[in-house]
This record gives sequence, structure tokens and C-alpha cells, in this order.
Amino acid sequence: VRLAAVVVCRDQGRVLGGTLQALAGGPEPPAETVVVDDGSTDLYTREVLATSTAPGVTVVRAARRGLGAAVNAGIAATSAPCVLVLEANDPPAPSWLAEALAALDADSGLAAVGHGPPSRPGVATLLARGSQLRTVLLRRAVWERLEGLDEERGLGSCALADFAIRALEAGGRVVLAGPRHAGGHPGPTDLVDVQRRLRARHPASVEALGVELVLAHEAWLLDLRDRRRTIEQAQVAHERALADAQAAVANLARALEGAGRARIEWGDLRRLGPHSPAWGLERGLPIDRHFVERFLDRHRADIRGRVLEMKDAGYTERFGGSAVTERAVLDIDRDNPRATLVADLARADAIPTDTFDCFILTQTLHVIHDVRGALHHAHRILAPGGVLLCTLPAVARISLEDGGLDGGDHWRFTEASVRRLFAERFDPATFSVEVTGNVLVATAFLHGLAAHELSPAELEHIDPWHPLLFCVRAVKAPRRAPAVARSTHAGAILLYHRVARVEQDAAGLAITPAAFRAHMEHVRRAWRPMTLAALAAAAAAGDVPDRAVAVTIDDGYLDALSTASPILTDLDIPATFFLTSGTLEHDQEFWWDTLEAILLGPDALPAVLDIALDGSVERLPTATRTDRAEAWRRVNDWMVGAGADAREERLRSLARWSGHRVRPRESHRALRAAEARELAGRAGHTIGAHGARHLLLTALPLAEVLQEVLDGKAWLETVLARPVTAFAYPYGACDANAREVVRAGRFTVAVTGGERPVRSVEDALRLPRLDLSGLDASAFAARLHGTAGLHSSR
Amino acid sequence: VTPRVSFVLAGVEHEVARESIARQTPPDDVEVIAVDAAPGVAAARNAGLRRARGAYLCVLDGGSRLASRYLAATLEPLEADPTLTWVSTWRHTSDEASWTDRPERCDLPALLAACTVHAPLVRVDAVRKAGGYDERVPGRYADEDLCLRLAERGHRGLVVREALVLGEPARSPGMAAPEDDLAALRVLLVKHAASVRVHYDEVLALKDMEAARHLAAMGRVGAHVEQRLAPLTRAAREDAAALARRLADGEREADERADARALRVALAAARHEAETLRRSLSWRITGPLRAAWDVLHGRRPTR
Repeated sequence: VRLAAVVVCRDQGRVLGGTLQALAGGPEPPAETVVVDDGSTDLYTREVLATSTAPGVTVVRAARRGLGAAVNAGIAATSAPCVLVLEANDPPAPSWLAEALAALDADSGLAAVGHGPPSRPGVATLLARGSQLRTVLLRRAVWERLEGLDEERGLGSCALADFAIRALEAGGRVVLAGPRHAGGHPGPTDLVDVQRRLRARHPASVEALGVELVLAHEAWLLDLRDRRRTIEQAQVAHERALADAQAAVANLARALEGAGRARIEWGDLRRLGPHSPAWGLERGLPIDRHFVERFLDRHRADIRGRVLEMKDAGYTERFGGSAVTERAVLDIDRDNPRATLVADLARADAIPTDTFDCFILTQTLHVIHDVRGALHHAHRILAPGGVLLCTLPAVARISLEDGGLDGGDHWRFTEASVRRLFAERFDPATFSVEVTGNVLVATAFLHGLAAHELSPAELEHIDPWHPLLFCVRAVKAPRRAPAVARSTHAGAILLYHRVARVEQDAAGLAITPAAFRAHMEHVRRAWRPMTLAALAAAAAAGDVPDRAVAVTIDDGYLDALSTASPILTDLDIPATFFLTSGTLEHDQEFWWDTLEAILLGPDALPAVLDIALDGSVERLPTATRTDRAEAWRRVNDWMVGAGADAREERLRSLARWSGHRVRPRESHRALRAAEARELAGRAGHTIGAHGARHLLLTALPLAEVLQEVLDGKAWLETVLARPVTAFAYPYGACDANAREVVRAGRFTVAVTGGERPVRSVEDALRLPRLDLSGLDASAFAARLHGTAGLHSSR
Repeated sequence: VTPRVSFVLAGVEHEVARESIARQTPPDDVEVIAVDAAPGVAAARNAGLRRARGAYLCVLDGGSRLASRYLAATLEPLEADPTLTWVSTWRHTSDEASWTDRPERCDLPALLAACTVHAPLVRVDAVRKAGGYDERVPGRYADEDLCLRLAERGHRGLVVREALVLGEPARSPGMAAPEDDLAALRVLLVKHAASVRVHYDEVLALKDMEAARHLAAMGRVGAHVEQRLAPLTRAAREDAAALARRLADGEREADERADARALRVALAAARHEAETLRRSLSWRITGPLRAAWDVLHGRRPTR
């Protein structure tokens, strides 16, 4: 296993098959091929991806999180040492892949080979042409070393270029290979934005390049102007060739006319009425029936159990055979002696739901005016797992039998309308639309010729632009098997930090008391609040109750006691408060509040800040508000991952540097021990641990993780004089080490971030939470419903 | 009498430029100064500048000529707005592919990002104050460099959105290689590095915008060729082939019909001849002889 291919597909279903074929049929067929569905919304693409049966091809879904995330998901699903990354609409020439593989073999320092004009691009070139690097052969080891592609969504189509630049910056080599004019991808509509974002990811390189980067852009523009001119010249040449061909046609037509002959020989088709006014029945098998019967023949296996057909049971008898246990015939006409059910399919409420294993509905929907209603009932009366076999005309004469000119023949369809219609009732992954016909077949059918009057090759040729009819096989979703999870409900654990009105909140930790009350009132009204322990136990048992919500409040600010607690008590909503034990001792602010106060506060500051982060002294400008915000972000990010001592030391030196006295504010202080006891004593409140000093556990050595988690718990238990069994990972960050320590510390429930609902069957020591504190009441209600509520209903 | 506008012709094809100046409507009070470009483009321009007596200056080199509305369209804003220092226009090139360069702006970032001034009409005193043309800058960037320096000193220009400078080839002869283009641009950008630094983000964004425009246009043309022209051409060729076949078939059929007719006539003629022979005297006289011959060879006697 040497080569894997990752094909990113967003709404490119029409070309995906060709690309996969080109890959499999090339001189270097990949041992593994993964198609990453980057959140396709196009129905045809979703159908193709759902029904794809190409051997050796896996489909992975990536929920439209951007190219970087899609590529990472794809590569993670492979194991080969070389990975070809490409887009579904852009297969590289076979020779390119061989050349690129040879280049990787020849040079172990080569990180990646991109498809582009042959060159050894520097950072400047990659920055300038970032959006053009769409096909790359990369080394898995490099991808692992660089921890994958950057998943920032704003990078868009520059994600691969960003990766290549990072490989260069890490000392690797990158080459481009391909024709001189490779690239020229239609610019993404957001090219200017993604290029700017790409530069923002590499500020040092951009700064250092200066004029050279402008020149790299110019070099690309020279190339583009040249290519554009070539393409426009080619267009002129094409137009000339077309004009020549059309002139030749005109000359020949004149010559033919001169010889007394017409340009088109209509022959027997030169008549104003069709050859047969009755579908060609008197000549043989009508052409539409040929396709309908071929379709049913192919799906004989679906015609089983209780089968419903329109007007008569002819097809059921012919194609169903012994697998059919019960035949039913539906007609709107109560005089039809063969009808076992009389109803208008568009208003067929009398037919019970979940009834038929198969419904044969051929060439019927077009004579029902309320097509949607008919399809709604067709879906409804199918048993779970039942199959609808349906055909719909694209081209047909007006049907005399179904009401003629003024009566019942209402519609003709297109591929797009069929797909949308079915997608309203069926999951796109569960139906497939087959197109039949071409211009000859359609003409022959209008003339009422019979199937045998065309050759099999003429009948089989499919031209999607001139279809005759569509065949749809749609499967109703089966009943959910009661597997491991006994409940399909999802619950939510809500995360808050502060309930207070604060002037400054760069980290977005606070919710106003009024908004918090509105959130809680909604929870009380529309959801079922429960304790965290109860929700965790239910999730572990695979039995999350419907609309379950648990409320958690992190860090242990004073306002938890003074503001949040009364609201929760008032509404009788249980809640868990996670306290850091280190702040209980003396009146203390959390480090992030102090940092924010120093850097973003109203007081004047020196114009620059020299601060040692990551081993070297960094000079951060602090003259303007924007500068300060940048500086705050940089220092804040660093402090999140820093140890407690380094953090304290930097805070002290920052305070000195600012020239102002920094003292803890009453509005920002943490709970004292006595206040924590008071909080713990209130009904419905539970206290959990949040580490001793709020450190990022995933960045600490094991010994320090132990100290943080276990010491924190011991001290909290001493202060509260009661056991503490719930834990919240500081910053929501949890890895295998941290979880193991939490387990060893005899916690029974632990919560992370995650931004997703709690499903049945969850790890009780890694429960996800939702932070919706920034939303107003209606957005909160909608999001809670969207993430947890909707999940439940499916 | 001092003229209002001085035209300096610093190129080789003076006649074309001179005629286009003569055709300006309405005609204006102008002087035309032809200078030898041998010492270099910038030096020639400076020589012209020294001799110019008008209040406004326009330099034409490299075979450019002016549309007849050039002077009216550029003078009007300069006369109306004393804070404007130069007015430039769009440029139409018609070498093998016709091409119109349509700059939108000619402020400092735009001037740094792309060549956006084409034979601008400039106030002479501003040019003199800025020190004329810089002889170290490659000739093709003479106007660009001048306007950059003017913009750096706080002057302002305007682009008239109409192609009024014509015929200048896209690239000067002998300077076609991209490396040379880049080397010339490097000289200009290094000279104005301080401005580049100030407007860095905007310059890069403007370049990205141009790239996006090219890519979009290429995409449009590509799609048009692939989805419309190519199928149409294919269909027309198939049609032509079918018609040609039918024409050939028709001709062959006609030939065959003519052949058949000729054959029928020849046959009738032969029959007629045979009949005539049979009825002749010699046939009847030789009858017994032919009968004896048949008997000798064991054949049934012919009549």
C-alpha cells in the first residue's frame, strides 16, 4: 500500500465518477481512495455519494467545515505513506501522478508535489498563487508532523497552499510539476478574502518579503494576462471554426437543393399527426412501457410482501411472483372492478400509514394535480423499509385515457424537479433517479412508434438533455432498531461562567442576569431540567430522557452565589457549580480578568510591551486599541497553555510594566471558602471541581495533572466537608491522560466543551457541553432545539 | 503666444502621433515637440520638458496615438478642478488580440499595484517641481514613476473612463520576456518601497482582485467554448459530413441512373442489329451450313 487518494467533493457529483475512473484506470491506481463529502447540498451529488459502489472507494462526510477539515478527515481515513489530494472536478493527468510519485521517491526531503507550472516555489509564490494549489501529492509523515492542514474555514481554497507554506517554513521542500500553464482554476468568488487570510496566517514571511511578494503577484499576473489572451484567442479560433463549419453546412444545403433534394429528409415523419394516436399499442409495445417494464424487471426483488399498484395488479403479477403475499389495487375510479382501494392518492388519508412493502406507481403522478400531496401519501402508506417504484414522464402526448385536454393530464417533469420532489419526502441517500431516452426515442414515442421499431442501441442511449422518462426507486426509512442505545433522545448540558453585567468581556464569559433568567425560564418551560449526575447516569445507561437539560456554571465567581443561584432557586432548576480550589483562600481575581484589566483597561499604557513568551522576548505594540487587542490575544493565548508559576510571573511583570496598581476587584473576585459552603448548602446546587489553579491539563506532565486534579478535589472536599464527584476540565480540554486521572480520582461525572448534545451512550467522564451564553432568549431557544431537540426527533 | 498644451513625441513613429494630435476636436492651441529617443526614453522626455512652453504636457512614445476626443476629455477636468494634477484615460491596444486596459483609479495604491496611467495630461509646473523624469527608471514606467512621485507629494489624478490612448503595443519591442518585465517593475517598486510598505495590504489586495478578474474571465470563456461553441461546432461538422455524404450518394445514384440508361440504349441497339442480321440474305444462305456444323459437334441445331 503506497498511494492513497483523497477526493474532496462539494456538489460535484456529475464529474466525480469520471475522476474516480481516471484515478483507478491510471498507471498508479491508489490502493485506498476516500471521497470526502464536504457538506454537499446538491441532491444529485448526495444521491451519487449515497449510492456509490465503486470498489475500494470509501465515502467520508465532513459537514462543510472547509477544505482543510475535509482533507484532514480524508487523510485520517487512509494509511498509505503518500497521499494524493484533489478535488472531484479536477483529475490530474495520469503522467503527472507518476512523475510526482517518482519525485517523492527520489528526494526524501521533499514534503509535497503540487500540480502547477514546473518550478520550486518559494513562500512568495505560494502566497501569491495560494488559491491555485488544488492538487497535491503529499507525504503522510509531513502531514502528521505538521498536525494536518489548518482547519480555519476562512482559508477556503488556500488551505493546501497554507500547508505547503508551513512545510517550507518547517524546512521541507515543495515542488510544482505539470504543464507550463497548469492551474487557472476559476477563482473562488472570495479569492481576495482567502488570499488575505492566507497572508494573515504567515505574518512573518509576508513582512519579510515586502516588495518581493508584490513581484511574485506580478509574476502570476503576467502569466494570467498571457493565458487569458491565449484563451481569448482560442475562443476567436473556435468561433471561426464554427463559422466555417456552418458555412460548409449552408453550401452543402444549397448544393443539395440545387440537386433537387432537401437538407432534412423527413420521409415518413413528415406528417402533422402521429403514426399512432394510441401510444403505438396497435404496432407493438409502446416505447415508454419498454422503459417502465425494464425498470420493474430490474427491481423484481423489491416487489414482495404487501404490494400496491394503480388501476390493476398487472405488474405485480408479472414481476412480483411468489414473494407477493398480498395484492392491492388503488384507483380514484370507484367503478373499476379491480380496485381494492378507492381513493385520490393526493388525499388518501383513509389508507393506513406504514402499510405496503412495495408501491408500484408508474406513469401516474403527472395526472394528479397535487403531486406533492400524492407523494406525501405514497411515502406515508409505505411500511418502514418499503420501496416505492415510480416512473414519471418528461415527454409524452396528452393522455386521452386520463382526462384528455381539459381533465387529468397535468404535468411533465425534469430530472431536477423529480429529485426535489422526492427529496421533500425521502432522504436523498435513499432514492435514486434513473434517466432514460434521447431525442430519437422521444420523437419516436410522440409519433406512437413501438419499441421494436428502434434498435436496442438507439433505445439504450441516454441523453440527459433530451429525456423520455424518469424511473425512481425510493426506500422509506426503516424503523430504528433498538440497538445499544435504548433511547434516541439527546439532552444538553449548558455551560455558563459569569452571570453579571460587566463593562469589559473580551473572552465572552458573562451573560447578563436578565438574559440568564430568560434562558432558564425557557429551560423550565420547554425542557426537562435535571441534575448533571442524573443526566450522566441516564447517558451512560443509554437512556437519555426526552428534552433533558443540565445546567453548569464554571470557575466560581462571586456572582454564582449572588446572582445565578437565586434565579436557579426561584425557577427550581438544579445546577452544578465548578470551583477552582486555589481561589478560595484569599480574595483573588482569575488571571484572565487581571490580564484583561491591564491590557484592555481604560488606563494609558507604554507604547510597546516586551514580554518573554515561548522562550524569546516578543515586542508587542500597545499604542492603539487595536494593538492592545492584538497584544491581549497573544498573551492570553500563551497564558492558557502556560504553567501556574510562569503565568503569575508574567502577570506581575505586566502590572509593573503598566505602571498602575493592579488590585483585585470585588466585581471580579472568586468565591471565598465560606461563600462556597453557603452555595453548596442551597437546595438543588451541587459543587464540582475545576482543578486547583485552572491549568490546561493537556499541556501538563502527568505528575502535575495528578496534582491539579487530585489536590483540587481534596482541598474542595476539606472546605465543603462533603464529597465532590463532578469535575469540569479547565478550558474544556481533555485527553486520555486527563480522563484517566479523573477516573482515578473517583469522579463519577466529568464535562468538557464539545458544543454538541449529550446522546444516549456517552462516556460519563467526557460529557460534551453547549455554551450558548452569548445568545439572546429566542436564539438560545432555537439553537437548543436545533442541536438537542431535533436530534431527538430523528 | 504661448500654447496651452505641449505634446512631446519621444518615440519613432512620429507621423501617426502627429496626425492624431492634429485631429483633436475641438482643435486647441497646442505645440508639438519631437525629440530624439536615442539617449533613453526618460532623457528624451526631459529634453522635451525643457522645451515645453504650454501649461499642460502629454508625452507620446512607443507608437501611441490619441483618439480625437483625448484633449477635450482630459483638459476639461483639469481646467475645472485646480486640485487635479493629471488626467489619464483608458488604453486600447489592437495588436493581434484587441485589448482595452480599463483602470478604475490612479491613486497611490493603485499606481503601485498596476500600470494605471497611459499618456496622462499633466500640469507642467508640477512635473518641473517634481524634478522631471527619472532617468534611472525603465522607460515604460516613466509616466507611472512620475505620477507615483506626484501622488507621494500629495497630488491627485483622475482616470477618464474612455479608451482615448490607442495603438501602443502591449509591450515595447525587445522587452517581451517576463523576467525583464519583473526586473523593470522591481526597479520601480524598490524606488517607492516606502509607499509600498504603507499600502502593502491594499496593493496585494488590488493584485488579487486583478487575478480574480482574469480567472473569472478565463472561466467564462472556457465554459462558453466548452459548453456552447464546441458542441455547436461538433454538431455543424456532423451535419456537414451527413450532407456531404447525402450529396455524394445523390451524385452516385444519378451516375448509376445515367449508366443504366446508357446500358439500356446499348442493349436495344444490339438487339436491333441482331434482328436485322437475322432477317438478312446471307443469314438465310448460310443456314444449312450452320446446321451441318451443329450436327458435327453434337449440338441441337440452331434456327
